[in-house]
Amino acid sequence: MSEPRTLGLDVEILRRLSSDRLVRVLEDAPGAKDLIIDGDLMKMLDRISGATLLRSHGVEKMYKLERLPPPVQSGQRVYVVRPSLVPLKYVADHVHTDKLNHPDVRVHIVVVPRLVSWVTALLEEEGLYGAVTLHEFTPDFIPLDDDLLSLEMTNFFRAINTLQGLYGRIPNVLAHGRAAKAVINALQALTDRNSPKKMLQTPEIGHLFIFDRDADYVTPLLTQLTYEGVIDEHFGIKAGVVEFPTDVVGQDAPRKVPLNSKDTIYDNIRNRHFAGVSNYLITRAREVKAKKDQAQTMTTGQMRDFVANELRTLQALQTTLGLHLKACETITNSMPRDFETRLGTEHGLVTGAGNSGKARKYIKNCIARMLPLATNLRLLCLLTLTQDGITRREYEEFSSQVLMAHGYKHLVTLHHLRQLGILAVVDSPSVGGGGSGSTAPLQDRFAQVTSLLPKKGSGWRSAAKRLKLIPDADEPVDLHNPTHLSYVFNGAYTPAIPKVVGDALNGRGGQSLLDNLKVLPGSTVITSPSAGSPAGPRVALVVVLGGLTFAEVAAFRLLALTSATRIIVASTNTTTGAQLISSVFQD
Amino acid sequence: MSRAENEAYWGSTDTAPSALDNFFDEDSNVSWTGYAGGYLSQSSKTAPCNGSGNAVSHGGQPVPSCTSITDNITIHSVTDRAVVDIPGTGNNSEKLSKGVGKAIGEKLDSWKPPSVSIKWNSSQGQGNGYCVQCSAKDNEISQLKKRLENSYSRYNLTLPPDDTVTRILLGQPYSLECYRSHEDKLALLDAALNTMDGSAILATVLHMKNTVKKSLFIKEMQERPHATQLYVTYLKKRHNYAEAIDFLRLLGKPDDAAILAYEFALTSRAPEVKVKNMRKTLDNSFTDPNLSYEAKIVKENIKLLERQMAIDETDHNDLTNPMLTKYPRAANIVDKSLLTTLYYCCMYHWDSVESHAGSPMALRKAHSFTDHQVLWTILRGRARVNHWPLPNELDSWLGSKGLLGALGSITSAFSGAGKAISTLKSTLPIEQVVHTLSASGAPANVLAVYLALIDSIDTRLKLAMNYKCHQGVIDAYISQKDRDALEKYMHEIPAGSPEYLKAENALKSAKWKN
Repeated sequence: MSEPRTLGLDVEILRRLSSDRLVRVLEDAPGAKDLIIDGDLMKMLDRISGATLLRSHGVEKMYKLERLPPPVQSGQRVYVVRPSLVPLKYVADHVHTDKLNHPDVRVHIVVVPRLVSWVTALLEEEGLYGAVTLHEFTPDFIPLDDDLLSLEMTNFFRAINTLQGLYGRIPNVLAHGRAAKAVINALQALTDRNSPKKMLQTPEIGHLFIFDRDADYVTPLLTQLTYEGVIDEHFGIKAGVVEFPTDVVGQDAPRKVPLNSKDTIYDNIRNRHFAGVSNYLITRAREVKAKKDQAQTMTTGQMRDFVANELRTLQALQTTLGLHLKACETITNSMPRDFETRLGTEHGLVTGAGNSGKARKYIKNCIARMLPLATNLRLLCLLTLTQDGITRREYEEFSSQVLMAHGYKHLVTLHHLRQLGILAVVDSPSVGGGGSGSTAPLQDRFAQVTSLLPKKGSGWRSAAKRLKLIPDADEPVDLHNPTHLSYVFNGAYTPAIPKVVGDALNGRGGQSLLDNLKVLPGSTVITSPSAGSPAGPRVALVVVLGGLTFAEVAAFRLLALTSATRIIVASTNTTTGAQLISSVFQD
Repeated sequence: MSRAENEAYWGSTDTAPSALDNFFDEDSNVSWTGYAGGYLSQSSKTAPCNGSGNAVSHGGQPVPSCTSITDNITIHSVTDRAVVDIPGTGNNSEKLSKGVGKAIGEKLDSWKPPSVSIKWNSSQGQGNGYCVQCSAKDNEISQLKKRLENSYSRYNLTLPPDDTVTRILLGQPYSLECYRSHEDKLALLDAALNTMDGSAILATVLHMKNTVKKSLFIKEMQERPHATQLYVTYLKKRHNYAEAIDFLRLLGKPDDAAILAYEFALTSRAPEVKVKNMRKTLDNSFTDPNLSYEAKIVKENIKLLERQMAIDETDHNDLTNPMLTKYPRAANIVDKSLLTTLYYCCMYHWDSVESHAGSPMALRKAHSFTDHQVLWTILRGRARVNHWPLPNELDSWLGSKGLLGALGSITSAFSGAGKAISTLKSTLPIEQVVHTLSASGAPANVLAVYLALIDSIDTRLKLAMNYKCHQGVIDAYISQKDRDALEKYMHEIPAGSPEYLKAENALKSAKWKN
């Protein structure tokens, strides 16, 4: 995988950019200061800069933002918060309390990623306007790896603008979906304001693709089967870091492990089908052991050389191998007993080969067994999408069972899922047309722009057919030496977004692709380089608004190999179906 | 206008943004004449200035300073267009930049439009007394003059909406106060909507909301679903539910309003208040016939919550129920789901009479469970207290409602446990039941009974082996008539145990194929 990866640009520069920006904000409050950070921002700040950097810019103590204010120690406190009511109320309460005992303390509030207008209004209402100094910190894309960028935040416009500023104007653009189109509009508006010199720079990125998550909800709903995807589903990967629980690390405390291509073992297994991972690990472990065993027959000179050079690497390898083997084991043991049935049900629904009556019955049983809500809804949503929507009557039947098992309050959750088109119900008089209101929790997580999703209640199956997402059942897909993108789902389904990008990169774009995209919700915008100007290098940037799964990332990595293109994938965040669903929950 | 011209105008394009920044800066020394003039005449372009321009030339008196302004205007509006205009939204920005003047800032206080009044006074003087038409023109001119002068007031000078929106987008200071005409507000809102930027849209929506009457606001929002959505999200973020519900209702979205009202009713902590709020919500928000299903759910919620409060009331101080002491309650049952409540009742009130608040049978009759929900929950709830009911014990739980239930109980009276077993088989995936039972520590004899319900003998055998349920294995071999296998399996069974005896018996008496 190394060949296309080394092509061209350095994404690490993005981290430096964000880090510099953070430093500038900190220096706006010169001198010693205490930092009080919104818990939801910690992971992201971690990825941008270390504690050392913060300390070198005057940060003395760091606290997590909680209801009660931490002790006042230095003359300045800097709050880093999201524009969200609860953290802001906390901050306001802190300031009021601290004012009584420490009238001299200076307070700065850094709002991430945007200092939106109502935040200022809120502070004004609290009587704090002018009493605190307001700042804004907008992080750029954060490189999680050479080929994976994440915003961990929802402010796309400036982030993509920065990319164009750094790497030159991207000649080929394909954007699909309403939000995607808006991003392009905003980009162009911003680009035109920028210095025109930048635009003359030779582009380092040849292709830009922008998609909404709603182009393909089926992919996140399916159970992931690549190692990285499985890790994310079981332990959760946040900003490129997994926290392995105690039984995996074999210590008393859970351990945070960064997952990226710098770890060669991980780089080799992350995209493999889970079924093949432990075999690979065992083979490698044997090799390492054999090498270590050789040491016993070495001469003293050889031995000295070995200890000086190889031993450390081998030991590190052994530790990593052991860790991942243990992770595999833990995952395998925690697989539900009916995992095979579940997988069979999912794939049967997607390919249309399965008996949907049987699937319905299976889902009803899962609901009656009170499996986790996200698990149940994930399967239910998959059913409704692949059936091109269920009838209102059937919806009432399913939903009442869900509500009995998980609480009537989730009527609200189901309503939101329907508004988003993840739960597809045909002929539903009770969900109003257009983007109706109240999708707050999801919007916090999604890009603000993705909130306006078109209604979808039908047409998935024809879309899958037009885009050829369901592979021919007679052609076996090699799961362990994959050549086909659908290997990420056992050859049952090809994730739509990588498929479309692949078609475009392999010259199967043009009119037929445009026609095919019409079946997906939203409109398509395409720009091509003007005649005579360079088409740009074979480097593609794919942006997915509203969350990207590791199954898709794996498909993109395979696509990068087969199409000899360096593909950099960027998203608001990496996600799983469970996360997608639970982001709609109220509590 | 070409880039070069633009640069000539500004000196260099690169300084343009910084000049914009300085616009808000008291101490900066940017010359405003050209700039403000540009916008000024842009506003005049709509109606007033074009008209006045004509009138002036009629009078035969060239007005150099006005033309120079006009020149600037054209130049400037083009400049503006070049910056703002983007493919795709071209039409829009053209529409928007029409009729919009420019600018805020203290600078304008010191800057007076010196030439206008003098000029027009003189033209007035010339025209006087010559013709009737002229006096009409004069009237018009004096009106236009007033309007033009008014437009110099800094509150009335407005940036083109696209510019203001871009400023919001870029995080630069901006002011919306100057957008006072309804058209301007709409143009501003639509410019924000074009960018899809949440902050910009919300700022413009709130500006409109604060400055126009409610009905007008609703009317405009009806045509802009995305703005509506962001506004509702904002109200919810600020915990201003009442306003959001009212807004959605006025907007003609009774379903969204109802769901939000329900959500709001649930935000109160105390269950009594919750019930009260839900009742109120039912009366106020769920009257639409399209919402009958949703209304039913809310009613169920109330019913359940009331029962849960009653259960908690009795169990709270109950020292007579041995189960409560043996298995201390992990949590209050109030606000748990219906199935969790059934689970709880199966744990603690399995033997309670039906009149008891916690009777599982009473609960089962009060709500319309499906059979598999009941069966799964009973199995899991009873297993929690180390009781594993056999299939025939579940008989009374199935279909005990209505005619069908009555018919069912008659049949079952004739056929013993037959109905329960067949219902169980058709309702639950028995394999999964066996997994669940075994995981909860069910004894082998119970497992064997459930294993016997599995149709496929191979599966039955596999599971029995897996869970070391000797009885199940023996039964399977007997029905397979496989003597050899059973004889071999005898080694696994402890000699003298009841299973061992049974197997021995079977070897003697049963019919075998080998």
